[in-house]
Amino acid sequence: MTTWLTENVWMVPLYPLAAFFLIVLIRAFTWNAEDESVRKGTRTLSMLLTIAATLAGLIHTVPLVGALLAGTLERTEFNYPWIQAGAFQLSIGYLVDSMSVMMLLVVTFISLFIQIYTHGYMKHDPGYCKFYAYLALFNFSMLGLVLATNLFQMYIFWELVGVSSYLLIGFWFTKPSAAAAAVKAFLMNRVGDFGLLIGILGLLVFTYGWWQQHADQYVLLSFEGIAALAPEVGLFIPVATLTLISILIFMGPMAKSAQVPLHTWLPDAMEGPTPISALIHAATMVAAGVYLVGRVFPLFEMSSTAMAVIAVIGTITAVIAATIAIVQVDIKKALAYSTCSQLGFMVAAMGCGAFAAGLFHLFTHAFFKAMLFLCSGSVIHACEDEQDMRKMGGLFRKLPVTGATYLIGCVAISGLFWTSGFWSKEEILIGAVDFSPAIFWTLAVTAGLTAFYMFRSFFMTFGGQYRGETHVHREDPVMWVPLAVLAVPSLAIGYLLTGTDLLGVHIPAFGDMIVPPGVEGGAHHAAEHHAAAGALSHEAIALISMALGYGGAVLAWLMYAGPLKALPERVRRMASPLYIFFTRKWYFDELYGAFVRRVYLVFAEGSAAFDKGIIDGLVNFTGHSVMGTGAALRQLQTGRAQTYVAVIFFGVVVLSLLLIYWQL
Amino acid sequence: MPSYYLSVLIALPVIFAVLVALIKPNEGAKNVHFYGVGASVIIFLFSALAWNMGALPPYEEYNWLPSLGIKYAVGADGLSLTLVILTTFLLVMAAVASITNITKRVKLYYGLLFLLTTAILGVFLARDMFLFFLFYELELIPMYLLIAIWGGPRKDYAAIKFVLYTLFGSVFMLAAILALYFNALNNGAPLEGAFLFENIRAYIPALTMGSQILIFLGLFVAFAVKLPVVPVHTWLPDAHVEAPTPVSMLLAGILLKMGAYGMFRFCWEFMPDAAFTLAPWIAVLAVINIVYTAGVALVQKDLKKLIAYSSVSHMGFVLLGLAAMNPAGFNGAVFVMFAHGIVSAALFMCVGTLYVRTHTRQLADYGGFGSQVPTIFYFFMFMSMASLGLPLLISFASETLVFYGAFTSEFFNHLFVLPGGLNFYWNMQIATVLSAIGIIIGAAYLLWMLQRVFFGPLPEKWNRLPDASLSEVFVLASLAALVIVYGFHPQLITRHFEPDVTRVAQHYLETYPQQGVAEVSPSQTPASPIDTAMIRPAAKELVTHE
Repeated sequence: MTTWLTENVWMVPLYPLAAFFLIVLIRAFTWNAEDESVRKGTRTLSMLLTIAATLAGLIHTVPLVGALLAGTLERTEFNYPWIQAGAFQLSIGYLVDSMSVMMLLVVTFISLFIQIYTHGYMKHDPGYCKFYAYLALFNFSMLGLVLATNLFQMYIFWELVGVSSYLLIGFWFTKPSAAAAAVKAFLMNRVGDFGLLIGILGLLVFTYGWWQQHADQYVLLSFEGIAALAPEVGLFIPVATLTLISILIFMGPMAKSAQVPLHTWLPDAMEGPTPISALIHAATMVAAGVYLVGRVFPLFEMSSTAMAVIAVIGTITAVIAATIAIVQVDIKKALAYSTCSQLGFMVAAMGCGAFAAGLFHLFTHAFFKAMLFLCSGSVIHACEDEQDMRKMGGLFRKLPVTGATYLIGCVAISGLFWTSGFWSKEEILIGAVDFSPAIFWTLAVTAGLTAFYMFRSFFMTFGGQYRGETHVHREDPVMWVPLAVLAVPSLAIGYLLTGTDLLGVHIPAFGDMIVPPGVEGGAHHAAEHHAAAGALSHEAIALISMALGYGGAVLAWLMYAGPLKALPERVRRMASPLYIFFTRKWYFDELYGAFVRRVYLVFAEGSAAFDKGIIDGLVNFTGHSVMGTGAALRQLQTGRAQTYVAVIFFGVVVLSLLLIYWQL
Repeated sequence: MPSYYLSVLIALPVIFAVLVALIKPNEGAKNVHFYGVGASVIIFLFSALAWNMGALPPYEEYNWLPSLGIKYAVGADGLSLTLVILTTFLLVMAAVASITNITKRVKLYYGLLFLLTTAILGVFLARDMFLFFLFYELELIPMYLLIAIWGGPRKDYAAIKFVLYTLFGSVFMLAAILALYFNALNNGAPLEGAFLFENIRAYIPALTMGSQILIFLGLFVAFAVKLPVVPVHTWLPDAHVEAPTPVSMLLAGILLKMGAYGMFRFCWEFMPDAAFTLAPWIAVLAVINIVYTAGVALVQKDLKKLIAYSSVSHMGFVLLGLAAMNPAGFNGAVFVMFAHGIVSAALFMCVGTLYVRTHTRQLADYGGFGSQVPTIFYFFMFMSMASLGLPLLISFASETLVFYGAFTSEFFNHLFVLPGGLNFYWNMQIATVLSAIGIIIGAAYLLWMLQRVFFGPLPEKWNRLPDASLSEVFVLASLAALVIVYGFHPQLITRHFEPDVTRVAQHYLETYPQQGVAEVSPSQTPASPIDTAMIRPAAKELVTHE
């Protein structure tokens, strides 16, 4: 059974692709249907097709997860030559191993509940069918990415998730801000993809000989091949060049996982409908960057400089995004910067060599961040599309399930009380303390900031008195049930995956299951060094991070619900330059705007002027002067076309003969 | 397959042109369109026979002007057949597109369209250089008239510019062809069949390097005008803006490929020595073509001009693939020809659908069309995505081959020494990185175009626009189907031309030394006698010694 499921895992992405094409076909035939029942049927069918496709994927995945937990999952790889030219060949296939099965579970599980939730959220939208079609397209792309066997295939689906994201951010394209955000997301990701493409090609050109020698073992650019190649990569690539190649490849994850400086598209992407923010821009697609880093981890490990760069970029992202998050008043923007910051944690963990810790945080974060976004969607829906937290407050009584799950999400993301975020963040900090104390302390303080801004948003939204004017609607079961379901893994999945027994079944620790190809487990790796270095003990790290986390949460309570309510205003006045600096998002957008205007458009305008003025000007000048000369010489001419042709012909013949004669 | 199949294929459109002329003068335009589309479908089906037979259609050769050694010789290889099918398929598309776009003098229009088809098919199938030149020039007449009669306000300027530009190139081509002809004769070739491809080609090595380069340049300039290559490209935006939609589709879809085909066939296949010598400069032209014209496209205010410049930019990928001189590069270049033929025809069709509704092409006049004409919107967006190289759509597969081919090409690595210590290297890796900037700009101009045309609120004046008609949907859906099918499974198309094109590349790999970017360390010995593609010279020796 498991063998059959493993060998046919290619069906998992094809279910949603089939759903997508079916919806497109159905829509093509019912486009102008006047009949209300036909239109309603189309809507229901679109929803059911998409949900059924995802459910089929989840059912397909669950036994594989079971096999993974039981330790019987066999690594399976299949490749099909996609395109070839002579000996050169690029392949597409599927790869089943612990990492891909983990991601399959995350994607199908979260997708399923978000798609159910979508029915409630988008019920009254005229683009309901289209929305489900796009969701199916996204699922296809994301699942294809997860199953990629090689860097080239990864790049294919990498771009496809990008375009799904573009379509969904710009879903309400009549709104100019949504249209602009969609274009921005696509272009910024293109910049990252440019680096990724050059990095892949760079790796290929230096190691082509190696791939040729191992053509019968590994397909070109396969992850397995990269893991096998990595130990001897120094034979082919000088270290400095390898660092460059690694950083170029890392540009892809930088854009997709919104790492500084390619992060500014993610907050803008909140223009899309909230289910999209939850699915694509919190749980799955943005984590693809971390996933890619995990896949090529053995290569990155060969360059310590590249690893350090990755760690530093992740840390900087975590800090910058957290500082912006504490001054946001838009609930979705606050969550978006929080996502950005958490992605920074994951990337930093990868850079620190804590491979499993980064993926563990990816795993847990997907559940609670998707839930948090769905909560925000529920709030926005209830308040009639209001997103400003200053106009909310006191919503706990009206939206009890949303409030409770949001609180669970805050606790989980802050890493309090042994919730899932506690365990994964703990692993990251353990990895970081071994790598560099500076990064450790920065991340620990950022974890405190996380607790602060999350609880700030909780108290602003759900605590105190209602400050808005619109009537608050009640919760819809189709929307709160997914929230309640996602709350369970948010609380428990972290503890479960630390090596526990559940109902008599032993569940291995996450770090034992997810082992990077060719190297030992990241967490153990870190732990061993840590013992030797004699740095902070695990208990001390847990204490530090908990203290900072509780501190942040209590401070948020004091300032936004407790006795110190006047404090935020006073802090704002006292530290006004810093406050403005944070609210203007560290001026990244202004910087890029200036670059586009001063460099990009100047180049384009210059080229266009050159084309029109100089090149075409010369052409027209030639034409006019020939015509002028022609008018003067008209008397000499007979006006007979045959004569002209004859003259041209013989002129050319004479010329060629001369050329031959001189043996040029 | 009968032995005169190819001749019938070339003649068939002319026969239809004559038949169209025989239609009663007072016949309604609708009926003429019906006949025109029917005839084009027959031509397409007839050409599809060759596609599906497996074996290549037979070679035909007859004496024509024996006193000059000119023969009528036609034949086909995978490359020719691919382009023939592209031609006849796009002919059907253009004919269907004419239903909504051409309203006056429909009979004459179809006559010229079929005459044009014959000329193009002749170019792709000719196996005698004089015949090739004849067909190449024959194409000018119907194209000139198609632009000059059915064109827009500046049609005369655009049409004459097109003709003069091409003639300018043709002078060089004629000189080059005659030089090759006399070279063959001087070196003892028999007069009979002196113009035949194989004959001309056999005597090229007898030429000195200097004259090879001169002749190469003569041919290159002629085809560069057609491709087009900066700086001889300015006829194209004007011609496109003035030409009616179906003519634009053929112009971008097929006529540009005549330049690309000629370049590959004569410059690269026949004259590898010259091509190898000039490759660094070709790579320079490729980068300029891709990046510079993408920049120009970015700030165009006329929608059709924007798409026209994007065509020029994409043709730079053909040059880049040719400069790579390895199997991936050459196959990529040929695949780009095919892919761009489909995608650019579809994009011009999209522009046409907007133009017949609004009678404007200025981007500033558009806005918010997405909610008003959703069918056009989705097709336009889909084709833009195809054009900017979205994976699993046709352009991506072709450009991937070009990029991988170009980046792994190690034929040259020049150090330019400039005054003031400003030295820099020039090799295919640098050229590829610079070209890859083109994919960022390419995404930018297409997405901004979509944003300006379709996104945002709808202006009051456009709220009565009708959505796509059935014939328009037919054209766009057919092209979209090909974009998806060949994008998902590119081998369906590449297998037709891959063996022939790879054979040309093998010659380069076996003849010229490659200067490795990275030297394989001495301890690395090849384990198995693998294909010679891209193995460094040291490794190749080892293989042969075994």
